[in-house]
Amino acid sequence: MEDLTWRRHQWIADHILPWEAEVRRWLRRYTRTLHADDIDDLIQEAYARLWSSDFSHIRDGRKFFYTIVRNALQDQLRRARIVQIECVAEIDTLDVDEAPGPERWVGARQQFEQLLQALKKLTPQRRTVFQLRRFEELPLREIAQRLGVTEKTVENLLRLAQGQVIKALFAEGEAADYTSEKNYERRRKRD
Amino acid sequence: MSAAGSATDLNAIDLEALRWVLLMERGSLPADQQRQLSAWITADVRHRGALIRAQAASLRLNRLSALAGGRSVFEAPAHGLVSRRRALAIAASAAGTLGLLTWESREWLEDLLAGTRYSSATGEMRKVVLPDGSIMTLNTQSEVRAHYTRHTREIHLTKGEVLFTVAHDPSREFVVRIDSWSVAAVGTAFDVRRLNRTSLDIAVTEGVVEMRPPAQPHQRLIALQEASLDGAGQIAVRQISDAELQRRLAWRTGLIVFDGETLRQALSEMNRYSRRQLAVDDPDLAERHIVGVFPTSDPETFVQGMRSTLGVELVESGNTLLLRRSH
Repeated sequence: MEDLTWRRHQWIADHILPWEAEVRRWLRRYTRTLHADDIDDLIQEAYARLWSSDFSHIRDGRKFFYTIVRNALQDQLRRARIVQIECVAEIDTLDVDEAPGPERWVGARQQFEQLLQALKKLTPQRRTVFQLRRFEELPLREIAQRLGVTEKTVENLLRLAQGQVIKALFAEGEAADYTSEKNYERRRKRD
Repeated sequence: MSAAGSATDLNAIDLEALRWVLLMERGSLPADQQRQLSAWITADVRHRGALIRAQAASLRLNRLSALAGGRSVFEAPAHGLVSRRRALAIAASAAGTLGLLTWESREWLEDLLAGTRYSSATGEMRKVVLPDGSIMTLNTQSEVRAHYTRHTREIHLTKGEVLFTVAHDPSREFVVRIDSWSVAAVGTAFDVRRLNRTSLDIAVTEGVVEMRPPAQPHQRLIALQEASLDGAGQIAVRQISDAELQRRLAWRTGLIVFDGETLRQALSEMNRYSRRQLAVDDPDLAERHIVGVFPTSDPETFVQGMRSTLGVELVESGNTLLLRRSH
């Protein structure tokens, strides 16, 4: 049970997460009537839905993600009752096959560079907490002692730091193919 | 893009999900926190999704962080975060406190994420009453997962065939999802059959349902209509007679009714209910039409019937029973 669940998290991390930023851009581009909050709602709902799907046979996570988001969007509009004509017209023309091709691929190394860029933009305290926790893997208690603050504060700083980093990397960053670095090399040669 | 510079525009649900992921990362949650988390997850489908996303993102982030080689890349601010007294205290305590980042076993959480699972074994028929009074009747070899929140009733059908009798609740749509398909109803009864990855049949026994295929217009189905999706992705809707519908749902009473199906079709129906699989390899024989009522629990009765009407004999090999013309 645990192994299976673990694999599912891992699969989502490897095959869905890399496309989130691209899917968000696609939503922004094609559905001008959607507010930023609506897009967050949709993305959250999409993760819930895909968890419930059987994705053992899915080869193309990107297309799968697009399909699920598109369906969630349709359902959301239906629930809203007020039919936004413009938006509906836009969805009808949203064909997953017409979605833009992968914009750009980065490997793990490049994504690590992006992580460092994102860290640069954090406040010094948040950056320090993130590094001590994620890079040096220190326990929260020790980080609290080092910084002379309470554990509660460290918890909070870490949450904000990680939240910002996740947003920068996965909601706004570039599509990263990290299922295998080889795959990346192959694509790069072909392009 | 300013987002990476400020935390004010982080999504509140995402932040709350992250709080839970970070808490779980530190070790198992005490019982009261488990309760809080399950209440939070079941309150809104977005909460569940945000938690799944935060777990995947944190997993990825931990992996990336390993590339730092165990050291901080940026220097800590030079002034004043650590007092001398504190620094000494750390030196004294550091040895014993280094924690591992553990993802402890938390099946209770995974059940929450995946929904309540109901399944039936080969040959089994099972009736389940859901929290709102809706009834699911699972035919042989079926599996569903149910997610109920304050605003939604969602069932994911992963395989098999289920008859849904939906309790009326206009404030909560009842939605059955099959991959990227969904079928929605408010108060009605319908049967959904999913025998393999490419086929899908929906038959309405009462009321109205809305069929929502991906990337195709939605379509209403009324009682005595059946929609079938074939392997090529084509949807065909047809009227069925009441007798035909009853025949299709005869499995609820443990019976299977054939009325002109070919032997090949009949065998694949019979095989859904039994571990011992029936087969036919003679193409002429396979296309013969058959008529009759048989118990789903007993393939023997079916074989007897075929013996007398089609003049076949049975050859056993392992778990397979081969039907062929007797000479």
